[in-house]
Amino acid sequence: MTIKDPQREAWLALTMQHWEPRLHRYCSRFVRAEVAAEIVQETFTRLWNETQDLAGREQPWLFHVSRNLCIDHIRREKKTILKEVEGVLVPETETQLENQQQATELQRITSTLPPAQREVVRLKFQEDMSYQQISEVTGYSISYVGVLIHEAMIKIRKQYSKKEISS
Amino acid sequence: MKHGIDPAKLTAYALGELSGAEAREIEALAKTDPDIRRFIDETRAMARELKSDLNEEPTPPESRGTFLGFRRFSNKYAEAGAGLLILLLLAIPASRRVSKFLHGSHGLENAPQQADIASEGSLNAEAIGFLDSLAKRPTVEAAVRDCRFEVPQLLRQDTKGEIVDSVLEGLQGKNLQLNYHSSTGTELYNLAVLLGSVAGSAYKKDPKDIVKSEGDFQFVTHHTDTQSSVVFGFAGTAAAAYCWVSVTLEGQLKGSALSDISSKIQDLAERVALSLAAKKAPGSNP
Repeated sequence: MTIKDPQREAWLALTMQHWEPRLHRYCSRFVRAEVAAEIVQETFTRLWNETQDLAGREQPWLFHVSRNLCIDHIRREKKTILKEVEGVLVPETETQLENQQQATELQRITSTLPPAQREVVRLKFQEDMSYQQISEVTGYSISYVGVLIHEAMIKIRKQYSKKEISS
Repeated sequence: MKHGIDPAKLTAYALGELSGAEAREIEALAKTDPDIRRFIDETRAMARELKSDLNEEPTPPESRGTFLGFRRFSNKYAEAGAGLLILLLLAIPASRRVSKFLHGSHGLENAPQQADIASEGSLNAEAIGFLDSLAKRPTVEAAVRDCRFEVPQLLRQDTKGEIVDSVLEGLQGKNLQLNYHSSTGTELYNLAVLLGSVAGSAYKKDPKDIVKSEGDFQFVTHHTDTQSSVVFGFAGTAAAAYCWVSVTLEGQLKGSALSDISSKIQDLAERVALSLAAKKAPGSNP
């Protein structure tokens, strides 16, 4: 590929530097790490070829594209240890938290949430996205995102307070 | 809670997702209903804990980073991009027309003027340490996460141009790499402009020759918002270009003069940065 636009190149370099690890972490929850790396690269290739103005919308665009690529991959590869249920990406338990022992209580509780809740909670608190941005990534309506996060937080608070009391 | 408000909206409010009439309604209720107040406080506390805990989860080990042949962690790609980026800015012809552009037609009517500004005490020790560390390395790399010094204060206190001089020593090698990390946008922006100003002021030879060689300015900013990162990078670069042109055409630009024009540098840098970042970078075709 010939690089013709140095300003765009600089912008892409900064975008990659900032988002690549986060995208990799996000995708690794759905597919194997090697596949996640390929998907992240493909996402940046698509970003490079994207012609629409993404000013200020890079984050939801990147996560949305990589999410779709994860879903496509899961659909193609029957051998994957992951499965997709009703459009929600669901890692199998063996890959859910490889570092279960090092996980904090809140990380463990979060991993037990239903898939859709788990995903929006991570996008909200790990990726610091707004409801609007989460809606753009997942395709859920903004109000549904709000409901999912509300229900997830209620569950997390209940479980967390139980653990605190018992400990 | 006998308020009839959708609980999901309370959560949304607690997380800063509501505005306008909806937010005002809940604010009013929270003042009179302790249950609502408690729910909001607890939600916010849980949100803080979640944010902290989930962000402690590790990112995967180094990803392949082979896009366009550059590895992310080598910064080679960023260097190339940033080098070309500054080449564009510094390729502005060093002529009187540039001076006119900088000082006249864009609202910068007052050329830098030497003015005496009384010293307001010793230079902030943290700032001195930071700048000294810059000066000691041929290839300068400074991570100033959580830096706390105030840029305007720093500039006011640099009445003798000591900061410029100390950084100048660090620029004797042809490589200048300034990596600065900051937790707040304003701080990062100010620092970008400051470092860009100092670097641009200190360069004695045509930066076009420098960027053609291996050593480049490198302004890489890290901010949660990518667009801001780009803008701040441009701001530092633009400030460097402005100061270099000023020094080249109008003589030394040091200390108090730097202080005098700092706001103008920022004005120019911001406009250049915003214009370039908004119009060209994200939407332009490869």
